[in-house]
Order: sequence, then structure tokens, then C-alpha cells
Amino acid sequence: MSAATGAGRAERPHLSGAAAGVVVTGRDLRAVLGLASAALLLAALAGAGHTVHPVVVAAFVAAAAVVAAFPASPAPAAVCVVTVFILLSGAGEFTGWLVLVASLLHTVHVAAGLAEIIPIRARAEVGAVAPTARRWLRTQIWTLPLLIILVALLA
Amino acid sequence: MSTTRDEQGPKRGAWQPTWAMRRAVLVLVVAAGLALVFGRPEIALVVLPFAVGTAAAWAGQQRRPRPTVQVQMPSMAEEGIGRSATISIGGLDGAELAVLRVPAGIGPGPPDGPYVVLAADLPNRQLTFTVDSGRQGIRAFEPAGLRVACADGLFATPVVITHTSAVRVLPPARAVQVPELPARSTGQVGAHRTRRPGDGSELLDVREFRPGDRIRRINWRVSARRGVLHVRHTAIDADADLVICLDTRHDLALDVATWHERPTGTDPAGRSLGIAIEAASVLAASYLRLGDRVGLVDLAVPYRGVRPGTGVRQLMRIRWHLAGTVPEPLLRRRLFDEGSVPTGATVVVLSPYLDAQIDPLVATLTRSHRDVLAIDVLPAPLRMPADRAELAAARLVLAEREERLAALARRGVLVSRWDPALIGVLMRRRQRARRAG
Repeated sequence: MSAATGAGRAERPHLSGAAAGVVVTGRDLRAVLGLASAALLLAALAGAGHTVHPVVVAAFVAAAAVVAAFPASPAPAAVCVVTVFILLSGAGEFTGWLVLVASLLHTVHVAAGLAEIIPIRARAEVGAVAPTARRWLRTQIWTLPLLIILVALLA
Repeated sequence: MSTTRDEQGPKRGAWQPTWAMRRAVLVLVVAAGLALVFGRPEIALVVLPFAVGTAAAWAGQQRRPRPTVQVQMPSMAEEGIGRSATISIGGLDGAELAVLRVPAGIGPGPPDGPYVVLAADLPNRQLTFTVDSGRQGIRAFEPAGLRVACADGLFATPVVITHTSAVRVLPPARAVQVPELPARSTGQVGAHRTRRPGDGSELLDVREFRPGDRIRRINWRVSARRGVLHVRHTAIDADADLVICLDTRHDLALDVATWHERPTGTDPAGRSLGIAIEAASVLAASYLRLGDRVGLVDLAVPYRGVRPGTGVRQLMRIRWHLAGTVPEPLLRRRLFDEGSVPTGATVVVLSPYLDAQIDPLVATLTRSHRDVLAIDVLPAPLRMPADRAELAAARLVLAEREERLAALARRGVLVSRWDPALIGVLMRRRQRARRAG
């Protein structure tokens, strides 16, 4: 997030009623999406019990960059499906990684959905992303404790 | 005003599933399938927040409205003075966010980019922007675009766009100190004094009443003192006409190597036509302020121009025409009619005097009008081409131009570059010489 003072600065044209105050930029969203995508793939790899090789890390970072650059494409879906297959390739243990992967999978989906709509050079009012952020937080608060309990019971 | 363009056909504004929706379906189907086929409950658990979040977003979405966008731009603006434009967005019921693409030249601009993302918490929103009017001319603005989304971006409308908008940016109406124009020999109204006796306001003397004198011109005080009827003997008033002839065939830049390129008229700063338009606007503003009649003639296009007139509306008319002036390479004018260039008018010809086609037109004006001013609007200092052949050609053209201007001066035409102070000095000097001679 960045604080925008566009309405008050003399060098910028006057802009009333839009994107004044605290704003979220398209770049911020893509940064969140890229970081969450990379973390998702790495967490899935760790959760499946595989060794994290530097080459694999580099490949995942590249994949995350592609997801961040092209959110309105099949790339985010591909990352999500690859995550599921990585978990499938593991031993199927119920660990804390599973909870982290579940949280990140939802985060990547929501961030990609917003980034698809909000262009990279856009400034969004906080109110524009607030309903989605509230829904994401509510979902995480309700599902993650349940998931932790289920993982603890099944472990 | 620019309204929503119906270019998407009957599906314009209809909500459509996005990549996020397809992704949700794909991931849930794949995860559920794998969990069932391989008997792996942890795969189903991993997509639990994903599934719950998507279901919550889907349940809360209302895809009723169709978004609309309208841009209200000013039809006219002053050079360098910003005007307000309004973008009205409607049909946002049920939407969560609206992405507005603001046309370049208004709104936030770089480095923030042309997009503004708004919270769609109200059904309608109105935004006020400042239009950057820039240089004089007709400025076209790109269309505005709008896309709205709901349910975490699971559904969105296609981009709704408006028509393009055009704003006519008028040249500055800066008035400068200018010398008085010689009065016309015809007509008996105006702001100028003459030496011709007649029914005017300027007192010449008081003389005895003669048959034919008007009763209302009797000076009763002098008549009572002298015992014989006396009348005020006055000189008639006269107006002065200034006709500005604009040579729109050339729009030359400082770089001589670019002269062969077809002028676009998009960036008039520092080019010959831009200088000519500025000069015409300043001269018109200055002489109309003095109460003179000013007209505008386009040398290239006979039907473009403004007949002589006076007042604030005439200045606005001239500036309106000047703002819409674009380079016209062909010289279609052969003659001047009395309506556009009245007899006795002072004529100012604004041209770079680059070719011989201008000569017969100026000669015609010199024969029929007393005062012709040739104002050279070629930008300076010129950047000569590096290529030897081009340099030789440029020198030849410029030498011919100098000879042409010298010939005009020999013919009695006042030749000057565009400098209001210098032109004033030259005109006063000529008027003094004419009175002395």
C-alpha cells in the first residue's frame, strides 16, 4: 500500500472524488500475488516431504513471476493445480505445511482474481478492495482453525 | 458530451465469468477428483478455504446492473488554462469495484497511469477532472473506459467505452500596444479622427449658419454672444479595417531537414504556422480592443476566414477559426473579394514567404490597398541540414526567400519578422514619413 496525495499536490492535475487518500496500486497486488505463488509452491514441496533443490526454487520463482505478470491467464490456475499434484506426489502426511498450503492457495486465488481486474498501473481506493479483503479474512478465520483441528486429529 | 458507445453489440455490459471463475471450477474439480480417486483426504482439506471463499463470494454476488459511463468535456478551452471535465458512472448496483480508464490529458496521468479503481459502494459516481488544455488547436481526447467486477473478481463486465471527445483550445488573446491604423476613406462611423468635414464628433471650428445646416448643430451660446446663428463645424469619424491574411500552406519547423515532411499540425509550438496563429490572435485582440474592424483571410482556402467586424464576439470568432486552422498545402485562392478585404484596409500577410506563389497575391494587395505589412513567421534560428546536397538546396531556397522579401520592401510593403514592438515602430515611422511627405 502506498499513501497517495494526488488530490493535494500542485504538480498533478486536480482529481476529486477518486483514489484520494490511502490507495492500493496494481503493482502492490502483483507483488502479493507473486510472493504468495512462490511461497505456495515451496510450501507444497516441503509439505510433500521433497528436498528443496536450488534449481527447483529458481523454477518456482520464475513461475511465480509469470503468475504475477499475467494474472488474467491460465498461469494462476496452473500453479494451483501443480500445487495439488505436488501434494499428491508426497506421502500424504498431515502436517502444519498442509494448513499453510491451504491458506496460501486461497490467497493466490483471491489475489489473482483482483489483479486480473485491476491493471498494473492503476491506483485503487481501499474501499474497492475492502469487500474482497474482508471476505478473505473471514474465510481464513473460519476455516483455518477447523483445518488445524482436522490435521491434528488425522495426524 | 461523450456517452457510452454500443460497440459490443447486444452483450454490451453483460456480466461474464472471468479467469478466476474458471480457475475456481478447475481447481475444485481436480482436487476433488484426485482426493476421491487416490483416497487422499489431505487434498480435499487443502482446498477447503478455497472452496469456502469461492462459495461465499458466489453467494453474495448480484449481477443486475449494466454499467454506463459518460464524459462531459468542455467544447472550448483557453491555451494554458485548465477546464473541468466530468465523468459520470452509473449502474454500479451490486458491483464491488469499478476500473475507470481516464483519457490521457485529463485525470491523474503519469506516473500513476490512466486507471482509477473505485469502490462501487454507490450506484452512481461522478468524478471531476482538470483538462490539461495544452497548446492551441483542436485537441482530441481518447475515449474513457469502464469495467466493473464483483464476487472477488469471479464476474466482470466487458470494457464499456465512450466516444472520443474534442476540445478546441483557443489561442491566447493577449493585447499589446499597437500603433493606430490609418482610417478608411469610406464610411462615417468609427473611433478614428479624419480631416474631412462632415457630420462627426471631432470639432473643427464654429462658423456662421448656412442653408442646409442642421438645427441641432447650432451652438446657442456662441450665437447668443455674437447675435448671429453659428453652428459647430465638425470632421467626420471613420473606422479602420485590419485584414489578417494567414498563409496556411507551410508549417515549417526549425530543422530545415524536416521541411519536406507533410505537416501534421499536432504540435504547433515553435513552427511557422504556430507563430502565424499567435501573431494573428495578438493583432486581432490588440486592434479589436481599439475599436477597429478586424477580419481574417486564409490564403490557401478561400472559404476559411472571418469577414471584418468589431467587438468581443468578433475576437472570439477569429480565435475559434484560428484554433481550427490546420496546414493546407495547396494554394486555392487567386483573388480577394471586397467583402473579405475592404478597400482602404490595412492588410497583414503572415507567411514564411518560402515560394513564389505568394508573390502575385501580395502584389494584388499592394495595388489595391495602401498599407500592406509582410510579417515573416519563419522560426529562427534555423538548423541547417548536415547533408551537402540538402544544405545547398536549403541555401538556395533561403536566398530566394531573402530576395523575395527585399523585392516586397522595394514595392513599398513593410517587411518585418513577428515582433509586436518592432512592427509598431516601423508602422509609426511610415505614418510619420507619409504625413511629412
